[in-house]
This record gives sequence, structure tokens and C-alpha cells, in this order.
Amino acid sequence: MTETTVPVQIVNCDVPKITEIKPSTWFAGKTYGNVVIKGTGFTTSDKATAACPVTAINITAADNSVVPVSTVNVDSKTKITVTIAPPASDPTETATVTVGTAPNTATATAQIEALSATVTDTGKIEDGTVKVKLVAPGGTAGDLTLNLYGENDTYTQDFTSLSPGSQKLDFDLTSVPPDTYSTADGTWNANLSDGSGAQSVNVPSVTLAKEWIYLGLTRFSQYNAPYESQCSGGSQPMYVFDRSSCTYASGQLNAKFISKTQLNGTGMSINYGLLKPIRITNAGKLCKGKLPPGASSLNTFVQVSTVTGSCNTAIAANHSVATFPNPNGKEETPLLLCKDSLNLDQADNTTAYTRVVADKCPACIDGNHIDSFTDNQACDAHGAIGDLGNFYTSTTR
Amino acid sequence: MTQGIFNRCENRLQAFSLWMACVALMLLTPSVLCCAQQVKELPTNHGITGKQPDIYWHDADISLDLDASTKDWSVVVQQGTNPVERAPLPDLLEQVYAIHRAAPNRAVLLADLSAGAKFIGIIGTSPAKLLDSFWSSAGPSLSPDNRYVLFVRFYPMHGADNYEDQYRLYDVLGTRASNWPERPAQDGPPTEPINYDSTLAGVPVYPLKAGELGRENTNIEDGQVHQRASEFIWSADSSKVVFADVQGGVISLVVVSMPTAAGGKPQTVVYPLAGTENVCLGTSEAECNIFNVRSLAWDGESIRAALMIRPNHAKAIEKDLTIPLSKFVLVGK
Repeated sequence: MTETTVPVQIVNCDVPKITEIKPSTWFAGKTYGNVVIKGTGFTTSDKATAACPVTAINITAADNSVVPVSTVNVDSKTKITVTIAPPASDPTETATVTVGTAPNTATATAQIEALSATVTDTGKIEDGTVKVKLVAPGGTAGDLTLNLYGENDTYTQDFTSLSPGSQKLDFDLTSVPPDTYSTADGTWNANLSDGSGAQSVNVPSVTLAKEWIYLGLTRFSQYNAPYESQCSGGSQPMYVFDRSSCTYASGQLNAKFISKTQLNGTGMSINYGLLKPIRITNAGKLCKGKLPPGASSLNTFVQVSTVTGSCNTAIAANHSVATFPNPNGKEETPLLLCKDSLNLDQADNTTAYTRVVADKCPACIDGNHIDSFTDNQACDAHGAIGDLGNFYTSTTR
Repeated sequence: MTQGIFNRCENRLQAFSLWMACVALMLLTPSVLCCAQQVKELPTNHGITGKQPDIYWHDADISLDLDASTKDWSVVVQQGTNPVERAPLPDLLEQVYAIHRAAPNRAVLLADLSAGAKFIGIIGTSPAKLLDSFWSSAGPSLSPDNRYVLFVRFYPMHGADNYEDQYRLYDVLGTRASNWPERPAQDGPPTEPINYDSTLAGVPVYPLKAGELGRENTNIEDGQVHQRASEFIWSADSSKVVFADVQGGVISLVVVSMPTAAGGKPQTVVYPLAGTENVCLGTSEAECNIFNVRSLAWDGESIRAALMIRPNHAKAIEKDLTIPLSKFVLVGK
């Protein structure tokens, strides 16, 4: 039996260890030319041997795709610099950074961030306002296009040169067409500052927090319940009915008060309280045959305790409005319903007033017109009760 | 209506030519008052600002100017070399929006009352006097020759249910008595309640039924309510007017022809949009209204109607129809 001896050289390659990757978050589509990996046991080219080669780097994303690396420099046993370029198509995911050669390897994780643009808050859509969050490397800027989807139209608006971060965006109320809007989406054309080009970032579709019923620019006229105490001029005969007993009192009311109450539907008299013209009550039918001779629809009134509208709720001054079609839905299915809260905006997306739908306004058939009940007690005319104004109006539901 | 002067000219070119001629004449002879017809009125959907704008009608023969400089408003009438006269106006007017001359001695004043109601005043110009006045809940619409007023009979503007639009026609050149056939022409005695319904100015043209000339126009039974479903569109020669009305989920086109002889009555014909022309088909009866009618226009002896089919929560579809007057049926037959 012969014995052979073979010389074996035991080589102990350094075992690498990663302590830090800087930066450790990489935006998809951006090229990072100077990513520093710190640690120990890295093998530089001048120390490298066939058995212990220069420390290599591999980066794989969570979906097992390879993240391209280039220009790897092992500067020292403790520092590597490398160029990393995660593709623009990468989603937000974890990347595993591996250094060394098997079996002497070390791993650490980094984060790939896809650029994103998200509508984060639609809670103030009644002002035509939404909030978006744009995620991208610092220095990025680009135009954001948002689409609002309505039942009949799609409204598109560009917001120029938006930078990353949370942004409050106002739709141009003068341009948004009247419609009922329920969803929004869009695109952010993000230009990265490193010159790597523009990325088209999809804004995912979002359902608005509330359905936005936008009426556009709307005229708000005003009406009141005139007070007889504010009326000048002479009086004329009239009848006041108590419809619960079908009894009446005859007396005098200021002539101008009579006319204004006929016009507006309700008036506050000095001696008889709140009155309505008989023709808009059911007293004529209830008390048929009990009306005195000479009583007509224009000189006979009915005592009431509150001013109510077609929604069968009390009308409140500087709060209630009347709309067309009838908001109670009795005659047709209206866009505005009883109890809808209206937001009356200025062109700068700030709320000037809020009002609640409570009555029908037949005169509002002329379009883009709502009548608002005011606490003004005026009996005089000549513009004593002018318009509240024109406002960009909407409700949410 | 349009705002500004010269809007009574046949076209813009004519107006411009007239304006140029006026300017040239005034430059050459400043003492000569330019006699072009000038009208200042407010646009259709005007607001009420609280400050009465200037409103006037000036033509070759007469100047009619609203004077709202004091609390007692009036129309100042200047006719030829006659002394200036004033026609006082009632103090219920919120805002005057138009004055139109209708005849050598007659004018029409249109004004806003409160709550959206309208005032129509008939003014005699010699002597200057408010001859008659009435209220309207919608409209009113003047014929192009300013002779007729089509309007919706007045009802209180708030607080009722099931308002019905009842259409009436007033002849500006008629008398107060001839325009108020369903009530005494005289006001009640000053110390007694007034015993007529002053909402019954003019003659009823639709929806009229024998014996129902003065029926109520509020708290009408469900499904029976007539509602206006378009503007009032006059033929260019003022002989006819068309509008849309809806009742119970059916839109009808209504044409009213003006009387052709003194003492005559207007004639009303109607064309219900039924069958394949029913733009409300497929939607609930309740959703048939003014929003189904985009526009109406005269095309000779036909009506062109741009209608809208409005399916629930879907894009509206336009449907255009041309309907000859020969297909309309006399109301009441």
C-alpha cells in the first residue's frame, strides 16, 4: 500500500457583512449613480484572488426580477459604491441586495418605490376640492390631469407643475359642467430631476366620498314673509279664516301687506298672526259654503302657525330655499330633493352660504335659479329684497 | 330679450348702419337728436340688484323712460312737442326690466314683483296713464309687434302644492273690459272687499275646457297638473305662438293663433307627443317636464321641436321633430 500526499492550501476568504445601504429607498425609473453599501469583509480588486474574487453585487426584487446594477466599485473592505437603476415599471416592493460569492455572501434589504399619485380625500368635493398625494423623488415636477366622471359628461382639468407631497386641488367651478359626479381618476406626468425622462403615473380611480351634484352658476333670488308692521299706506277690507272651525273674522289689513302676502304666500299681520292666502290652503274646500259673500281668493286669508313649504317642514329664514322641480318628488323626480344641503360657493372654491331645500319655486323654471327665504321683514318693494347673489352651487348625497 | 340698444333692428348689420348714421348726423349737427329706435332693457334671466337700472324705449315719435329716482316710480312720456307727462307706477314693483311701445298711444311695461312673480302694466301714452295691470307667475312673453302678452295666470309663489300653469292672452290694444271677460270690469267699492279675481286678466287659451275658464290653479289633483315645458315662441309676424305643456307624463305642443278680426277670439290647437314621438316613454310619468324640450322654432307652417329623451342615469338623447300645423287638433274637439 502506497501513501500519496497532496498539498492543500486552505484559503479563508473574507466573509462580507452589510451594515448600511444609502440611500436604501429607490424610486422606480430613477438611476441612482452613487449608492453606498457599507459593511465589512468586502474584497477589493487589489486583494482579489481566483479563490476570493472581488465582491460581487446582485439585487433581486420581490417578484424575482433582477434590478440592474452597474459601475460597481469596491472602494475598500468597508465600502462599495454602485449604480442602481430600478425600471420604471417596477411596483413598490422590497429588493434583496446580495454581496459576495457563495458560500461567503451577505444580504440586506432595500425598498423600491413606484412613483404614485393618489386622490386621498374627497370630503370637500362640495367646494370642488380634492386632496392628492404625489410620491416621487425630490425635484420631480409634472402636470397632473384629473378626470371627474359624471352621469352625462367627463370633466378633465390639468394642474400644472405639481411636486411631490400632499396637494389641495381646486376644480375650476366656472368650467365644470353641471352633472352628477361619482368617480375620479387621472394621470401624473412626472418629470424626474435626474433627466431620466417623464413617467406617466396612473392616478387610480376613486369613488367620491359623496355623490357630487353640481348645478353650476345659480342665481339666488330672495323672498320673505312680509311684516304688516313694516308696510306703509292705507288698509282694505279682508277676511281671516280659522280653518279648524271654519269661522272667520272680518277686518282690515294694510293693502300693501295684502298684495305682498298674495305674492309671497305668507305674511305676518299685526292682529292675526301669520297668514296665508286662502287659495293656497285647503280651507276653501274644508269650509265650502261657509265663506261670506264678497270673500274672494284675493281678500281672504287663513291663520297658520308656521311657514311651511312643499317639503312639509317649517321654512327657516336664511336657511331654507325653494327649487324647481318640486323637491318633494310629487310632480317629477327632481335633481334636488327635500332636505338637500346646498353649498353656495364663490369662484375661488370657498363657501359663501349654505342652504337647505324645503319648498317648491315655480318661478325657478326659468333655469339656474333658486329662491332663498330671508329674515328681511320688508314690506316695501323697489329692490328692498335684492338677490342673495349668483353662486356655484352643489349638493352631495 | 337682449340687453342694450338697437335690439329692435332687423339684424346687426342694420343696427350698425343705423348707429353709424346717427353718429355721423350728431357730429355734423349736434343739435339734431338722433331718432333711431333705442331700447334699454334687461336680459331674460336678470337678477334683482337692489338698484334699478336705466330702462327706456326711444323711437322716432316717442320717448318712454322709467324714472326711479324717487320712491314714486313713473314712466316719463315725451311725445313730439307735447309737454312731458308721467304715468305713475304702483309701489309693489321690485325692478322694471322692459318698456315696449305697442301702438301710437299704448305701451307695455314689464317688471319683477317679489318671489319671482311678474307685473305687466298697460300704459296709455296720451294722456300718460297706467290703464291696466296684472300679475303673472311666469313669462310674460310679448309678441314681436308688442300687441299681445302670453302669460301664466298668477298664483302665490310659495306655500302651495300642485301649481297649475294656466296660459292666458292679453291684447294690449284692447280695452280693460275686453281683456277681462270673466269678471266685472269695475273694481269693488272702496269700503267693501274686492269681489273679483284679479288673476283672471286676459282670455284663457290653454288648458281650457268648457265651463272651466276660471278653475283653480293651485292644489290641483295629482296627475292633472299642467306645467309649462318650454319658452313661448312667437312667429315672426306675431300671428301665432307655440309652447310645450306637460300633463300626466305627456308633452303637448300648443299653438295659439291670434284673433284675425276685431272682437274675435284666439284659437288654440294642440299636438300631443304620442307613440314613437313620446320622448317621455320609458321614463316614469313624473320625469317628463321642461327638461325634455330643448327648443321650439317656427318653420313656415310647421313647428321644429328639439326634444330630449332622458333615460334614468344615462346620457340624454336628442330627438328632432318637424310637425306641420295641419296635424294639430283644435282644443276641445
